[in-house]
Amino acid sequence: MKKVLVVEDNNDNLRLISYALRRYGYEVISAENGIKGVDLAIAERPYFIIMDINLPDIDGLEATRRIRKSGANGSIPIIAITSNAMTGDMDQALVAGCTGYFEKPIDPLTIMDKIHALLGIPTPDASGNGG
Amino acid sequence: MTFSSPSLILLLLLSIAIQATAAVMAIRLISITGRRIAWCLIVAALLLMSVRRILPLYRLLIGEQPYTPDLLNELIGFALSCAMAVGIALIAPLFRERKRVEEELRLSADEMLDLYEHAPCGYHSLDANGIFIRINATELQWLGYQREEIVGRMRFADLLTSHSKQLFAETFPRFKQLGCVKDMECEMLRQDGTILPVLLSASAVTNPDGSYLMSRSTVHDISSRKKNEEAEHLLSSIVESSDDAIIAKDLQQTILTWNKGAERLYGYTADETVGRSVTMLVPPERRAELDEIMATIRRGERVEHFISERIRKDGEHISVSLTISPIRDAAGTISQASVIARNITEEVQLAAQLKLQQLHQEELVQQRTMELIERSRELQENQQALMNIVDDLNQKTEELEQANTRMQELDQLKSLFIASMSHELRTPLNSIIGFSSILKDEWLGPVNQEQKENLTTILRSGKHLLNLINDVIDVSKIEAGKIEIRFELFDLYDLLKEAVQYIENDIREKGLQLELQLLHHELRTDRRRLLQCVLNLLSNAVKFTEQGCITLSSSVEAVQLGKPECIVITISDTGIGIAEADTNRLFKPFVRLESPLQTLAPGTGLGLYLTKKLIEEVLDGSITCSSALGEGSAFTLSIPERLYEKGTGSRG
Repeated sequence: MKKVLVVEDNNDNLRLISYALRRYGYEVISAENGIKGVDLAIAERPYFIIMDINLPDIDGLEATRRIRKSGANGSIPIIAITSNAMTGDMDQALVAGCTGYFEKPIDPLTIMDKIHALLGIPTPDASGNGG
Repeated sequence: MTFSSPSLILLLLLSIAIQATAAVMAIRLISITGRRIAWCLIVAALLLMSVRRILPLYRLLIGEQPYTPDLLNELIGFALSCAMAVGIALIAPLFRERKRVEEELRLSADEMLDLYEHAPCGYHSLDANGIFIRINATELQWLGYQREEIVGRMRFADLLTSHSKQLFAETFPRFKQLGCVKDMECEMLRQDGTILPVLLSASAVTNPDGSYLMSRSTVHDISSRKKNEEAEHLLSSIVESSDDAIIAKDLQQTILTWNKGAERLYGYTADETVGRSVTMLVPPERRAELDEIMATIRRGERVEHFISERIRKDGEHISVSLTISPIRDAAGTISQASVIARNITEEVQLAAQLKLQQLHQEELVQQRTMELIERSRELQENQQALMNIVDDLNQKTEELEQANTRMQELDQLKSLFIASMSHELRTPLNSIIGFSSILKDEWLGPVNQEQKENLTTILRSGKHLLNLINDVIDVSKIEAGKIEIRFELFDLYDLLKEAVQYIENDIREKGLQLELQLLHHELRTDRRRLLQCVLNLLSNAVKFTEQGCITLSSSVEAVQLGKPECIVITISDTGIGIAEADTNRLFKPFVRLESPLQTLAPGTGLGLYLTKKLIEEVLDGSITCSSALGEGSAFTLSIPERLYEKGTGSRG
């Protein structure tokens, strides 16, 4: 079962994206702040990471930079979730090392199609059972 | 008888002294008397006699012996010498007296001649034919002739003008009979042809038998007198012809002269006035003025342009301007006064009229001045009112500035509010939408039909609210000039395809047809905002169309050279259309047109307003709408294919 790390401080958002991830057969591990996220990314080596930009300690960009610097996990795809879709935010996300980005709000019905399209992998069958 | 030698010497010395003295006296007479030779002989004889005695004297003195002169002879010689000396001494004064008389006579004659020649009048004498016998220098000088040109050659008549010649021809024979003529005026001709007026008087010199010998004539030059007479005549003519009354009066106010002007002015003739007092002309109440005037005249001063009143002979009162000057006699004493009077009755009347008019005008001016003052006061009041208004305005401006400051503060608050809204409002909404969508999609287990309908309502309301919030945020950003423009290079075809994807479901559900006429064309502009606009217009088209077709087309519009090409995107439908009257309101904020579909077609009322704002202010393009009620609408976007940072980003 492929692990996906979700770094997200908002519990509602975490639950919602988790439903979508689990529905497509991923195991969700999560961190509620940036530093934990970096630690988990290095320790757990997830298949890919969904990174909220607005975080309480270090922001998603900084966390991304640290993960990229850690070497061993440099190639893990990191998908940024931006809340205020400013031009600068998006450019900064890519510069910091993100593979791609999506703007809030996340539509749980379509987000996985978009992620798979971004990562270039075929969409697995939905289990229909997120539990 | 014998003489001692010293006696003889004395005798000789006495004889020599007396003879020498007599000789000296005789020599002095030589120059006085006319008979010089006789006196020279006497002098010679006396000198000879004295010399003849020097030799024996010498012999006696040196004592040459023997010398015995003839004593008697010597005594006779001595006596003769004495007699001659006495004679000469006696006769000498007679000669001197005669000489003096002669001298006086000669001087007197010279004086007479000089007087004749150079007297201040001309003298001449004429013979019986009227020819000059003699003429004096003065007259010659007057006439400019030489004596020899006249004397014995010219007749007096030759030197007269033709008029005087005639007079002389009549007078001369009578003069020869009567022997006298006096003060005859005639005109002589000078050599240069000019006329010399003279006054001629003459007396005749007669022979012992009483016949005429010659004339003694005196000629007086009267040219200056003539000139004076002419000047006087001229003056009196002027006085007589003057329109002004010119009167002379003495210091006792007695009228001395009265000219024609005075006759005309006062109506009296000279006969009626000369010798009478000027008070006859003066009204009683004005008589005191006369004394003042006379006092001035006595001081030797003039009274000029004194305006007074006089009474004419016919009793009419007239206004006169008087100029009164003192007249001095030869001794310089003021004895008379000249009065020049001018009738200024008309002028005075005119002046009075003028004064009246002036008064009237002054009244008018005063009236106008009062009006002006009144106006001025009104103006001042108005000005004061204006100033009050200005003060009010200043106060209002200040208030406005304060209000503006507050508004700016509010604006900042609004920006803050919007910023927080974008996060704080949308986050819970996203949860509502997200969770209701997975519930509805039965991820968490089956839901029944009623539950599904309710979930659909939650989902639709949530999306609507989210759209509303997003639109409000966008409008606020645009109006605050704070919207960000994100330039991207992309294919128009892809963008339009993406837009279509969002509405494909709705079109299918409504059973509408979709027609696409899309071009591949690379654009550089804000992709997200263009997508937003196209999507908004497509959504509207679907929303307001119940049957028929939605058409999306794109084209490149040829524009002028040197300008970037324009991309034209048209979204048309066969929906309900828009009334012509409503097309103007279409792009206004919070406008929702009355339509039967209103309740069925939820909207924020900001969609078209925001679209227009985005196209114009972000994409630098334009949007137009053509529609017919009941037939459908067509919205046309026109945007530049390439957009650069200039201009739009810094707007606001």
